[in-house]
Amino acid sequence: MRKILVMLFLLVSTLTCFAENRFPKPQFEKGYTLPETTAPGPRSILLESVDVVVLLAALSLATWLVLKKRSRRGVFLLTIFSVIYFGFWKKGCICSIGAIQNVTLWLFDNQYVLPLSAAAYFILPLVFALLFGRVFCAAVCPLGTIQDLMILFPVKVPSCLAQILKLIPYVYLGLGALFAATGTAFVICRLDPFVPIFRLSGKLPILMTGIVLLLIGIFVARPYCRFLCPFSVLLNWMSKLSKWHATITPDECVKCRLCEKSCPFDAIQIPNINQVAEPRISGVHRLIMLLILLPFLAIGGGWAGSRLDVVLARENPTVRLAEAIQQNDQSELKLMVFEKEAFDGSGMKKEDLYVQAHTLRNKFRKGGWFMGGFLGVVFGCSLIGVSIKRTRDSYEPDRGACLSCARCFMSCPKEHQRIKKLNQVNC
Amino acid sequence: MIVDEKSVKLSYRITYAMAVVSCVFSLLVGMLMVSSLMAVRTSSPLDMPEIDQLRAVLKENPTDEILRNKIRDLDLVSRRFYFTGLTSLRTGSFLLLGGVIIMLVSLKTMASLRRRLPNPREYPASPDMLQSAATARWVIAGMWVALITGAVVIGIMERSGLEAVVPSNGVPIKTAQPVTMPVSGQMVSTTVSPAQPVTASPDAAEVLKNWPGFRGPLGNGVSAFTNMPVSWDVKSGRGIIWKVKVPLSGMSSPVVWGNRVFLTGASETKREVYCYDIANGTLLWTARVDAAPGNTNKVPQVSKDAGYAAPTPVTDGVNVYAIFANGDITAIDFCSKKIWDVDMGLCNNTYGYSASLAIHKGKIIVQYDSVDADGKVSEMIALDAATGKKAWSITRPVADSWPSPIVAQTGKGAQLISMANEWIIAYDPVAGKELWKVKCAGSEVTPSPIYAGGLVIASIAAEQVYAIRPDGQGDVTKSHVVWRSEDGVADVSSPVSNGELVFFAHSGGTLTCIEVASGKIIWDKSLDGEFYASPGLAGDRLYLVTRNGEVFIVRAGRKYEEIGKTSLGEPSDCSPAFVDGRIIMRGATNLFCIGNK
Repeated sequence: MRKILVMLFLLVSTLTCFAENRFPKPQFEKGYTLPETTAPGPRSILLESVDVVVLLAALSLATWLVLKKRSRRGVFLLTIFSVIYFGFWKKGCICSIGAIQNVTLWLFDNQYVLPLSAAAYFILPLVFALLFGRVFCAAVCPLGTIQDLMILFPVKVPSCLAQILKLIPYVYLGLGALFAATGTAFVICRLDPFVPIFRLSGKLPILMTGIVLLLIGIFVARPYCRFLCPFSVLLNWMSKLSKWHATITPDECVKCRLCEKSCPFDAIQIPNINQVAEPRISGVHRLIMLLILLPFLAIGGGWAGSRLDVVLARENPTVRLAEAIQQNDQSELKLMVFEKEAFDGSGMKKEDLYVQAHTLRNKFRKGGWFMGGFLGVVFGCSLIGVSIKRTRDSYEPDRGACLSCARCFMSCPKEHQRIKKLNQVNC
Repeated sequence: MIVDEKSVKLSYRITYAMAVVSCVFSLLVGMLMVSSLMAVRTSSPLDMPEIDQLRAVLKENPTDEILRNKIRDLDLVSRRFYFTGLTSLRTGSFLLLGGVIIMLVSLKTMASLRRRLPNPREYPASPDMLQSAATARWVIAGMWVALITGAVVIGIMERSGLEAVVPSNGVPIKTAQPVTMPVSGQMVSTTVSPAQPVTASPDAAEVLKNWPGFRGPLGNGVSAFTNMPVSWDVKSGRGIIWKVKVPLSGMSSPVVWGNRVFLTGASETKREVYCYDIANGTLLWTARVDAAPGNTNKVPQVSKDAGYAAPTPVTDGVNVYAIFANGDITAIDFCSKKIWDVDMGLCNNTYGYSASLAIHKGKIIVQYDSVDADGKVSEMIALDAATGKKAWSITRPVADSWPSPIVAQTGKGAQLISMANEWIIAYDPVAGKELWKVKCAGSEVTPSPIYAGGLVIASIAAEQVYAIRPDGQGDVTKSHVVWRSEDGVADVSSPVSNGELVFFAHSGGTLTCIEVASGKIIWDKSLDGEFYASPGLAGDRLYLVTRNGEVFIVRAGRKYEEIGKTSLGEPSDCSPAFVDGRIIMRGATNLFCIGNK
């Protein structure tokens, strides 16, 4: 096939032999020298500052639209702006999700200088979430907004499945932080499924993942935000503590149930005041048991995480190269040929490389303890969370899961009344 | 109202048609892109077997111009095909994006036109939350068990083969293989003959084979080798293995580990560490030492005799550690990679900081004696060799000084011995605690102490030589000084001893031999030269370098006997390094490797 194509082009080129060549013919005998490989320089401070200002403005506008204006239309327009600006214009980088790794690396590597924009993209959404809920997710995050535009026929994810999927972001966050802390890779960026779409180029598997997620997003609203995004873990925590979170109704809830199915993210909590209560003593017993279990979960998780040191360390290029060289020596394999060639040219000794790899693996072992311990605490707290009953007598957004998208506002008859009054006042 | 319904229906049909058209369009574009992508992926211009075949033929007939042009044409076509494919992919991306946007807008409009109002009667008012919570607990617990099991199983199944070469103690099992070294910043060039294995903590035998710091493995100027040359001629090149110019000047002496010779040089603004190949003198790399974090870039005041690179670096076989007059200390690995750097602060030193570094059990020891200005006090500091972090430090009741500390293996264990104006002090090099001290006089203390014949021997300029038993505690001035001598007091260069006799070279040119046990003067001899460089001892031969580069080789015996006299051909104040038949010496401008070729 390839030969045919080449012959075809040869034929075409002979037909157009009088046309000027698009590419100059290489002149090997005239001392042709390869141009030097250049790396793009860092973004200028001015542009970085502009990025931060735009982010701050977008967050402020989203807050105003959600909390004050209560305008879904406004949120939708801001969503489109964010997809265009933060997504296609800025090519999805830098984003708050990836900034987790910059901050982690900065915490663990005193040689690494944290860029201003990375710090701002990490902190500002968290500060806004702490004050106003997840307004960043509502209309600013390019990864979230592009999925938001795909929501057409949302369906409810079965609660059992949702419980499992909701825990994935914690695992992803733990792994992403571990790889960043060890200086291995920014895996969250590398596996960002939407960046290839924003850049209109990228690795095929990642691009396909992004497309598949968008297609799933037609039915399962924002699958990445809800079941994958590591930054959503932090935003969820902040939003739970938020001081001024969006409410479904602008007034007192009349429990008309009209908003019950309005949230595509299943983030509306229904009143439970009339539910049959569990005997108090059994609830307390369970809670005590779970609290006792919590440290064991953390220790068990830490131990299991530390067992993964070898597997996780292989993501590190130094460890991979060391293992490849060692295997090559043992069995005359030819693994990582180019990397091996570069290594030989560097003058470094194998023993040095092995020691480096060993040190890195130890770091992964220690990091595995922290990651596993963190996950143990998360799972323990999740068990406790589903075992504690909080009494609600009205429809409320789940502060952690609510993306402040403003979709539920118009389901509330009180909201209609408010708009009517506003129009009357304006008239 | 009827009109509204009609218009809604019409709008719905239009958007439906738009959605279908845009969907079909997007699918078509997508399919074309996939086929284009496959073609591009299978037609890399760098991987064309046809061209490779023709190139092979061309190698046999290099003058075949027709074949040459054919290769060029084929190459051009393949490149054109590849890049045209990329361009069409990019255009397709834009078309696909446009199609998807129109499809989305149409579908959204359709959805909003067909939006159903909520009807709460269709679903239960209150699902059973207790049951949901119970299920959620089981689901979470199940997932946790699955995760833990998965992690443990994977952890057991996947073990690294690296354990075979790097055991749990982190010390690699030695393999001796040739390595390729970068030459002057270029990544490929010289192959260094078998390199010494790098160990995290080299054993004593390994240390003795090398010359890892100022005055050698024990800091006393004595080499473990006896096969040193006694004559050479720089002018004719006889006995000179190589001679290379050192980029920046310095009073530091060379250190050697395996096939590498390390040296430092500095000017007012530049500080550099050099690594030479001992086989041929090739400058393998130069590591520029930029200001360490926190350094204010203040230029230290130094005298001509001290310069900006007086302290000799030290190596543990893994990294080389160097300190400069501005207080910057750095660790660089054997491939020029900076491991860490630390700013010690500018040392208030009358002539310029000169104390060389010592090393003991993973700690780099810095004698940082300073005149009391700006609140700065003299300190003995130990830095962790791996990280540069301070392991311990202890203040010293002394003024600025120029000797280097040594770590001596005494009958009471390892002792860090230092000397300065008014005190000779020994410390525990591990814990940083003071062990004993001897009060002495002297104002500008420059020679370093040695440990020989069970005694610490210290030459305090313009005062006396002290011989001290190192088994005391506290102030042992009155109890442990075995003898003092006013004869042979060296003022700049350090003494050297074979255990029985100790030799002192004075800057005025006098060489004095004293018996270690008694302090009795055996002989002295006035030589034609001034001595700043500390002498070395290899076997029974003393090597003494004068300031103008003359080298006296004298028998280390009870009678003065000159074995030879030769010259470097240029001034030198640096101490020689001795390794297996070779002497590495630094002159004012050149580095020499002397021995049999």
